[in-house]
Amino acid sequence: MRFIAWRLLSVVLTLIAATLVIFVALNLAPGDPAAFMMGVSGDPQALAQLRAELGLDQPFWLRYVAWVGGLLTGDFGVSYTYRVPVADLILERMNVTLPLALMSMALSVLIAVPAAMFAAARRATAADAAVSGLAQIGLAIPNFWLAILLVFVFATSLRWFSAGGFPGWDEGAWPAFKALILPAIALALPQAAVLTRVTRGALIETMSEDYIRTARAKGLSERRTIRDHALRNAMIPVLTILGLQFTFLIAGGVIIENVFYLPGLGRLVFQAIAQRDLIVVQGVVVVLVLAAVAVTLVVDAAYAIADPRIRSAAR
Amino acid sequence: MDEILTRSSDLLFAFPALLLAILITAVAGPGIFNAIVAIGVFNIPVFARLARGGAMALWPRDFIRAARVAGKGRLRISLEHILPNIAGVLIVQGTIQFALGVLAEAGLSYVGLGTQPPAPSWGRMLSESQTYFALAPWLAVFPGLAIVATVMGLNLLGDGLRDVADPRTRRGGP
Repeated sequence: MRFIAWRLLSVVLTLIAATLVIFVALNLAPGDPAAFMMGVSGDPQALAQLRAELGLDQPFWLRYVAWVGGLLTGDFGVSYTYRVPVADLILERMNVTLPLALMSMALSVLIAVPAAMFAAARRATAADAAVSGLAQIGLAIPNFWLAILLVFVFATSLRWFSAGGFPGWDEGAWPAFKALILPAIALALPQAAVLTRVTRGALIETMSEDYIRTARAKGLSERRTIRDHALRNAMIPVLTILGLQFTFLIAGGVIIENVFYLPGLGRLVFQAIAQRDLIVVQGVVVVLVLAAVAVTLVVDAAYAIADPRIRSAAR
Repeated sequence: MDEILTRSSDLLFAFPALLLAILITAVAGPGIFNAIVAIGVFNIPVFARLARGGAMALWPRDFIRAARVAGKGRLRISLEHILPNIAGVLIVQGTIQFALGVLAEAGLSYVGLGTQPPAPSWGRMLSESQTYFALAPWLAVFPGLAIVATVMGLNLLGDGLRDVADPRTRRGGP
């Protein structure tokens, strides 16, 4: 109980500190959003009026308190440029970013776990070396370069997919899904390389445990030994990496979304930075930090599910 | 003190690294120097955690206790005994982080926040190649291959250094 209370307290403190850091950093940035919106025709009186309208004439700490207070009630403020609530913008963009992240994650697991099991079962053979070599290459490939190559091969040359853009989910699930396939592959392959290495390492480590020898001794095949005994015990490091990767996939979509012109969170924050739409930037970064913190909590809970020893120790 | 430093490094860790870099360059303006700061900042927690973990394991050891008995202060022990003993681990991690840094710089330059023209950068070459995509697709191939070769070389160097530093990992380890 005390452990859970301590965890929750540290989550709250992290979020408070994060909002403070985000707010200070962005409000110290050069460039007055109001002046930016007015453009070069800066009439001082109109500028002052706009600043008052946006609440920029208030003292620094008052604006911070108002912003955080709003966050707690789900009010992220109103975008300076789009003139719509930031929360609506973020939710709308989540419709692209979240499915993209989930698809890449699923793809990465579907590639990495079987590959790691395959390599661990044939440890120190040519097959193992081949998997490790491929992972080594995958680790070095920048995902946006992979994206460019995929566009060239599958969109420009073969014309199986469109080179970019997003039709929206209203047009039916399949066209939207299809628009996310190439970006998801580009994001997933380098992640799969990392995941393969970690999973293989964790599997090989557990393979030297006594219970694995027992499983073999009772006549289980190597494949069933790995699947039923080693994989489950190797889950802890794998879950840790998965948690880290999911945060990366949500935020790391920024560049990929730019390659494919996908209207996701990444492109939103990018455009907002360029247009000095600070309140949108603040909102997106807070959501991403919140996601990172939440994922860490979920991973901790998943440890307990994967490993009964942690579960009984926590009681 | 320990709590404050660990917590602030955890806080930094909660920010998605790439986003942090994009924020810093966006706030401070694009350019090589700001890109260097941005990539450097998100490496801080990695090394902080590693150094803390390594040092914690060393402090209860006999040779550290001997140094304390000899009258050396905490700072002096840290510099003369702890640092040389964790340097190997830090150098290995440094090689891996260098590789990640190359990837991060390429990404930042690709979206126009890193190296500015006329200075050349692999990331920017890739973004410029997209304009001539239909005419000259190989313009997109070679800068990417250069990045892959560099990053792979650094990663292999890191793996090799780790094997030298820790012979236990040499035989088919992770």
